[in-house]
Amino acid sequence: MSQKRILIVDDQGELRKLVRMTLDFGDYELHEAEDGQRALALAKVIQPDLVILDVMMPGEVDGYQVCEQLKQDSSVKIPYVMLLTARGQKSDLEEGERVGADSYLVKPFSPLELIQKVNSALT
Amino acid sequence: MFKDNDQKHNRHEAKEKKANELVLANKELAFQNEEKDKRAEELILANQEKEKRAEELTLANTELAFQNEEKDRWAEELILANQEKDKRAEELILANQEKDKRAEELILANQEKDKRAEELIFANQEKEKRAEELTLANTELAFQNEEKDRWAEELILANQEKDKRAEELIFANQEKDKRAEELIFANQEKDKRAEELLLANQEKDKRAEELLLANQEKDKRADELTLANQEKEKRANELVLANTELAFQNQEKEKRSDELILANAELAFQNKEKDKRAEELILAKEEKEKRADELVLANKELAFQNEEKDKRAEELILAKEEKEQRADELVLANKELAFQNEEKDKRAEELILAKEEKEQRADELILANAELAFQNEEKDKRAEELILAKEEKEQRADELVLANKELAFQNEEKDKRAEELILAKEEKEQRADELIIANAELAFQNEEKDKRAEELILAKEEKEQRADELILANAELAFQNEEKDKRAEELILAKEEKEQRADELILANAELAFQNEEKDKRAEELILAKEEKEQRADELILANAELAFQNEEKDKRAEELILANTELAFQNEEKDKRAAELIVANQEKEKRANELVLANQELAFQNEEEDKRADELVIANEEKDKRAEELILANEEKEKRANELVLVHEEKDKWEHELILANKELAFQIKLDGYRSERERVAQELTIFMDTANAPIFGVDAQGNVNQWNQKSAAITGYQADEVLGKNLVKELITKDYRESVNQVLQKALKGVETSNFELPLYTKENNPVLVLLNATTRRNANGEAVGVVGVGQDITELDSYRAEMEKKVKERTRELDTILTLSPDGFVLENANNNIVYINPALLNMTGFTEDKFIGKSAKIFSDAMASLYNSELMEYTNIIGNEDCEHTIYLSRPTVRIINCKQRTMHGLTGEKEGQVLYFRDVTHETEVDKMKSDFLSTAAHELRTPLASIYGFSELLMNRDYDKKMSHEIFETIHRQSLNLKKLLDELLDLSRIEARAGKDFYMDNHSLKELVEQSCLEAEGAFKGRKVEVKSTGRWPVISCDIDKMRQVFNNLLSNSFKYSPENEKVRLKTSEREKNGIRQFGVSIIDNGIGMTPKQLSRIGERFYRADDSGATPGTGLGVSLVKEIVSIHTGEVEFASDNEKGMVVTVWLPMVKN
Repeated sequence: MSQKRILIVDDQGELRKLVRMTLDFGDYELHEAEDGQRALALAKVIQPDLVILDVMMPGEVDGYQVCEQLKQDSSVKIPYVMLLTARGQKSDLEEGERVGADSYLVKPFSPLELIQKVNSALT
Repeated sequence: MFKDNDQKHNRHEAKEKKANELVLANKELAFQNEEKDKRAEELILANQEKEKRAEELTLANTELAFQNEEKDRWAEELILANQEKDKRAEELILANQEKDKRAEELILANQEKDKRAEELIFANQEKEKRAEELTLANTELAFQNEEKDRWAEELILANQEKDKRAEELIFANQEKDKRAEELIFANQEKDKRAEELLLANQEKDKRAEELLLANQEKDKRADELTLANQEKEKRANELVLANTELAFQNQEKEKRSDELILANAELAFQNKEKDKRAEELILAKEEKEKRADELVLANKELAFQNEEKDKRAEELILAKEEKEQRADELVLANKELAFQNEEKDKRAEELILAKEEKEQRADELILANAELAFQNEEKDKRAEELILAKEEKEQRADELVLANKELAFQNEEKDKRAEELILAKEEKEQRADELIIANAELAFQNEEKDKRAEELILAKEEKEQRADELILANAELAFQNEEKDKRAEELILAKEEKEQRADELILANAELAFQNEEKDKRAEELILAKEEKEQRADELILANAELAFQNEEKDKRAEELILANTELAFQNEEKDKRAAELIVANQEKEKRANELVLANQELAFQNEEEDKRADELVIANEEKDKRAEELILANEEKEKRANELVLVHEEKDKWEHELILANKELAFQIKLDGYRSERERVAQELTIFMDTANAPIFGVDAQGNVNQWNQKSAAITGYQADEVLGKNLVKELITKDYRESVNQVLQKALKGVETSNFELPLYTKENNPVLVLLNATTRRNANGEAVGVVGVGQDITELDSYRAEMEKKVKERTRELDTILTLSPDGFVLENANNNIVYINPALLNMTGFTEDKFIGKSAKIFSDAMASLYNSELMEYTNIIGNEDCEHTIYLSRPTVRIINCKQRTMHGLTGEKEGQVLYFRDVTHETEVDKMKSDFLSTAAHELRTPLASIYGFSELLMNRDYDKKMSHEIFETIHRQSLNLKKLLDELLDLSRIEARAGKDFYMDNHSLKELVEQSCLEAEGAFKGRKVEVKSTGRWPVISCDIDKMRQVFNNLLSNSFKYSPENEKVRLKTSEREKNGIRQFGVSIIDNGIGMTPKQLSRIGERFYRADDSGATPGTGLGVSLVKEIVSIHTGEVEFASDNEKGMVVTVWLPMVKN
C-alpha cells in the first residue's frame, strides 16, 4: 500500500511548517503549496488524498475557489478537503459547505486534533 | 348459491394450479439434483483420472528402478571382470613364482640373473598393490551401487507419497463437497451467521499467517535453489578438476607403462647378453654344453614367457587403467546422478508441496470467501487490499527468483512487508474486535430480521451479488495461482537448462573418454545410460508439468465446484424461497378457506337472521295493513269533521270582517282629532322657536318681499321686524355687487333647488357689512307649491376674520415646511387621499433624477413604477413601495447612481380618523452601509491577522508538549513561538495606536514647535541603527522649517517610512531623502521625500496603500503587520498634512510627507 498523499495549502510558511511537523510521522506523504493556483496545479500532478486548505489566501484564487475547483476537476481524484479558517463564523461554514468542503479547522488549532481529523478522514 | 359454487370452483382451480406449480418445482428440483449427481460423477471420474496418472507415475518409477537394477548388473559384471582379472593376476603371480624358482635355479647357476629376478619380484609386488587398490575401488563401486538402490527405493517411496497425496486430493475434493453441503446448511441457518463471521475473521488471520509462512517458504526455496545452483557449479568444477587429475593420472600411467616396457626391453637385452655369454660359456666350457643347450632352451622359453608376461603386464596395466577410469567416471556419474535425482526429487516434492499448499490455500480462501460473502463491504475492501498485497508480494518473489543477486535486498524488503502485514494483521484484529461488536449487533438485528423475512430475502440477494463479486475475486486469485504455477514451470525449465549444461559437461567428459580408445564403448554405454536417465528426468519433468497441469485442472474444477456450489446454494435458496412461498401460499389458502368457512357460517347465520326478520316483517306488515285500514277509517271521519268546521269558519270570518271595518272607522276619527290639536300646538311652538332662535331666520314671499324676520335677524342688522317686513330683501338689504347672486339663490329656492352655506353679505342699519352663512330653504303651502323662501343663517363675521388669520398662518407654516423639505437631504413625496402625488421635494428629485412636473397630480402608482425602473435588478425584484398600510423598504438603486435607500410610508389621518393622504420618506443609507461593511471587514481581517501568529504559538507549543524533539529542533520551535509572540504584540500595539488616534482625532497629541530637521535626522539615525550597515543619504534644498507637531507621533511617521524603505529595497542599496516646498490651497507646505530602489508598487497596489492590513508583499517573506502606513497617514492627516505615494515603473518608491509650515 502506497502512502496517502496530503497537500498543505497556506500562504503562511510558518503555518505550513506547523502542519507538516504535525503530520510528518511517516504515515503520510506531504506536499505544500503557498497559494491557490499552485495548489490546483500541484493537485493535478500528485493527486492528493487529502487537502488542508487555508481559506484566506492572497492571489487570484482563495481557498473556497480552490475547494470548488478540486471537487469539480475531472482530472483530479476527488480529495477530502479540510478547510483551515481564521473565521469560524456561520457564513464561512456555510460557504465551505456550498463549495463541498468535508470538514474545517479554526485557527488557532490543536495539532493533536488535526492528526485525529486527518487519521479519521484517511481510514 | 351458484355464485358460491363458481367461486369455490375457481378457488379449487387455483389450488390445482399451485399444486401443479409445486409438482413442476419439485421436478425442477429433482432435475437439479440429477445435475448435481452428474457433477459429482464427473468429479469422481476426474479423481479416477488422477489416480490413473498417479499409477503411470508409479510405473515410470518402477521403470527407473528397473534401469537402476540394470546398472547394478553392469556394476556386478564389472566386478566379475575385475575378479577374473584378479584371478589372472594371481595366476601370473604363481607363474612368476615358478619363474622365480627357475630364476633362483638360474641364480644358483648364474649369480647375475638373481638380481634381475628380484627386480621382477618387486615389480610383481607393485602389481599386487595395484590389484588390491582395484579391489578396493570395486568394493566402493559396489557400495555406491547400494546407495543408488537406496535412492531408487526413496524415489519409489516418494512416488508412493505422491500417490498418497493424490488420494489426499481426492479426499480433499470429497471434503470440498462436504463443505459445499455445509455451506448450503449454513445458508439455511441464518442465525449462526454471526458466529461464522467471527470464525471467518480468525481464519483470515490464519491465512495471513499462512501467507507469511508461504512467503518465508518461498524465500527458503529461492535460497535452496541458489544453493543448489552453487553446488552444481561446484560439482561441475570438481568434475573438471577430476577430469584434469584423471588426465594427469593417465599420463603418469602411460609414463609408468613406458618405463615397464623399457625395463622389459632392458630385460630382453640382458637375456640376449646372457645368451651371448652362455654361448661364450659353451664355447669356453665344453663340459657345460649340454646344460648350456638346455639353458638356452630354458632361457628362450623364459624370454618367451617374459615377453608374454610383458604383454600381459601391459594388458593388465591398460585394463587396470581402464577399470580405474571407468570406476572413477562411474563413481562421479553415479554421484552426480544420485545428487541430481535427489535434487529433482526435492524440487518435485517442494513443487508438489508448494502446489498443494497453494491449492489448500486457494480452497481455504474460496471456502472462507464463500463464508465471507455474508460479510459487509468493509471486509471486501480488506480482501481486495490483501489480494493487492499478495500480488505485490508475488511480483517481488518473481523478481527474487529472476535476480538472485538482489535477493538479500529484497528479503529485507519482504521482512518489512511482513512487519507491515503483522501491523495489518493487528489492524485486522482490531477490526475483528469491531466486527465482534458489529456481529453482536447483527445477531440482535437478525432476531428482528426473522420477523421481516421478505427484507431478509432481498438482503440475501444483495449478499449473493457480493458473493459473486468475491467469486470473481477468487477467479482472479486462481488466475494468480495459475501464474504461480507457470512460474514453477519456468523454474522447471530453468532446471532443465541446468541439466542441459550438466549434459554438456557429460559430453565434455565423453570427449575426454574418447581420448582413450578402449574406453569408448563403455563410455558410450554410460552416456546411453545417462541419456536414459535424462529421458527419465525429462519424463519426470513432463510428469511434473503434467502434475502442474493437473493441479491447474484441479483448480479449475475447484472453481467450477465453487460456481456449482454457489449455484446449488442459490438454487437451494430459490427452492427454500419457493417452499417458503408455497407454505405462505398454502397458509394463505388455508386462511382463505378458514375465512370462507367462517364467511359461509356467518352468511348462513345472517340468512337465518334475515329469514327471521322477514317473518317478523310479514307479521309487522300485516299489523301495518290493519293499522292503515283503521287510519283510513279515522281519516274519513276527520274529513267529515273538517268539512263541518269549514262551514262554521266561513260564518265566523264574515262576522270578523264587519267588526274590523267598524273599528277602523272609529280609530281614524279619534286620530284625526289628535292631529288637529297637535298641529296647532306645533305651529305655535315653531313660531316661538323661530322668533327666538340664536340664528338669523328670515322669510321672503314669491315676490322677494320679507315676510318673516326673527329677533336675531333684527339684532344682527339693526333693522327691527316692522322696519323690513314687506320690503324687498334684495333691493333693500343686499349690497349691489351681491344682489344678482342672492337673487339667483332665492329664485332657485322658489323652484325647489335649495342652497346651503351661501355667504350672504348684509348691511346693517349703520351700514356695516355683515357676513351671514345662509341656507335657503323652499317654503311650501299645504298643496306643496313653493310660496316663498326661508333663510336660516349664521353670523360668521368673526369666523371669517379668524379664517383669514389661519390662512396666513398656514401659508407661513407651508413656507417653513417647504423650506425644510427643500433643504432636507432626505426625500419626501406627498400624496393626497385620492393617491395622487401632490408634492416631491428636491432631495428626492436629486436622488432619482426625476422632474417634478412628471408626477404632480399623477397617480402614486406611476411614481412607484418610475422608482422601480431605477432598481438594481440583481439585488432586488419589483416592489411597490406604496401600500395601503404603513410600511418600510430598503431599495437598491443602480441609476442614476448606485444608492441604498431606506423608504418609509406613513398615512396622514384627519381629526376624525379618515385618511387624508400619505407621506413617503426616502433616506440615502449608502454611506452608512458602506461604513458598516468596512467595519465588519476590518474586524474580520484583524481577527485573521491575530489568529495567524496565534495559530503558530498554539500549535508549536502543543507539539513541544506532546513530542520529543532534539535540542536543535526544540530551539528552532521556541524561536518560532517567540517570533510570532513578538509579531502578535506589535500587531496589537499598532492596532491600539490606530484606533486611539482615530477615536481621539489628535486630542491627546501634544502639539509644540519642533525643528523638522532634527526630528528627521533622529529618525534616520534610528533606522540606520536598526538596519546595520545601511545608509540614508540626505539631500536637502532650502531651509528646513519649524513645524507644530507631536514629536513622538511625527517620529513614528518617519521611523515607519524609513523602515519600510529599507525592508523593501535590496540590502546594498541606500535610501535617499529629499526636501521640497510647495503651496497648496493657499498653505505653504514643506515636503520630505523618502526614495528607495526597492520592489516598488504597481498602480493597483498603489491604489490600495494605506488600507489596513494591506501588504504589497503578502507572501509573509517580509515581516510587518500591514498597519504601518495606515498609522502614518492617520498621524500626518491629524497634523493637517498629507502623504503622497509614487512608484515609477515598479522600480522603487517615492513617499512624500507634506506638512504645513508654521508662519514665523
